[in-house]
Amino acid sequence: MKWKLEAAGIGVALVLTLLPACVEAQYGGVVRRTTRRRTAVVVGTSVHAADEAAAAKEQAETQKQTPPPPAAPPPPPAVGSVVSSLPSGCTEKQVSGTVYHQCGQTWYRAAFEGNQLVYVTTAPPG
Amino acid sequence: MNPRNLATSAARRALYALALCAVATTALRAQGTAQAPTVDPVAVQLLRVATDYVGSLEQFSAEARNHREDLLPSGQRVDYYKGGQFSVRRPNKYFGQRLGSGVDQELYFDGRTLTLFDPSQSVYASRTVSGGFPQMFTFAFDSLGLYVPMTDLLWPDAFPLLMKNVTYAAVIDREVISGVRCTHLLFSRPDVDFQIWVADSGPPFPYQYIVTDNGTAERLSIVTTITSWKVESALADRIFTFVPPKGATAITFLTPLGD
Repeated sequence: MKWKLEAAGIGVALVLTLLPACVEAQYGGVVRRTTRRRTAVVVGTSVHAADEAAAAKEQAETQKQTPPPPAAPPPPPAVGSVVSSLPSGCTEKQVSGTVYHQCGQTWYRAAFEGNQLVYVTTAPPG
Repeated sequence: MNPRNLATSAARRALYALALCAVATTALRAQGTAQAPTVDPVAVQLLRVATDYVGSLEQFSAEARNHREDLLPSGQRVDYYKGGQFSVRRPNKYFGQRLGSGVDQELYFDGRTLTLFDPSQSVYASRTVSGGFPQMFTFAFDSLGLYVPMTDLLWPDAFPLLMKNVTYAAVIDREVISGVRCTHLLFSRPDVDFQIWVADSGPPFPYQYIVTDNGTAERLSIVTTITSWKVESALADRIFTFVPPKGATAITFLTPLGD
């Protein structure tokens, strides 16, 4: 029991250990390097965008001859998967005292995961 | 002096200089090492006074402001803030409210039932817990993954828990937190540093508490500033008892074993 008290007593520390860890200590150097990197990215993106535009034009010419097949719809999320927010266009329905959110063909119900309000994919109620 | 003696003498002087330099460096290193692992009994005593005082209060309330440092995946630093209040009636009644970054929550514990309520979405989840704060805090954290604000300072035996594995303790300075003159204390444990500011005069309330992850180069912290401490005498049961508002929906807690 004592170890559990200790473990929970440093709850803040445990929360901290879950935080992402990816920063450099030398802030001045980071700012300079970030500026240069962003410039490089913007320039690189412009060049890349020009290439993409040419490629798209070429692809459009090809598509005139052979239209591509329609893209398959994305598969529905697996039952039991957790999302932090609902997609748009959902409707709320109460079934046997439980509130469900129907978003297209996918059903969700709200739950707390720790301190966070989340939505869990469920099978259609019934 | 012949050239051979000259060369020998120069080499000897160089060796002496090198040896002196090595001794001085070793002495400085030894001095630094000797100073590092110290535990100032004054800092320890002030922490004991503050935690014993809060632990002795039967009923109290306060306001808390929480500031969490974080990093985006891009490496940019961001800071999140929450504000709230809490009320405590020992041995087993707690109410806490937090509002801010991504959170709108009220946490109730009436001695038997633990309830987390989200007023903005009007949803709540409850679980039965028997016992006092130790059982409630342990169940909330271990079984539900729920962080109850201010628990570090609310444990009945907060002092030994905080001092466990402390390798360094120091009085840093005297500073003013939220208009109150406080003594600033620093403690180090493996992977965690914590700082606490204890009021210099009047009741020895802690006015600020910072926990820093010292296990990574980023040294991110969570800062909690506690103000408006109030020793209460008659906190009513209804403060700690959750009554679902009209239209509120019961939901569940997700747990590792399923809900």
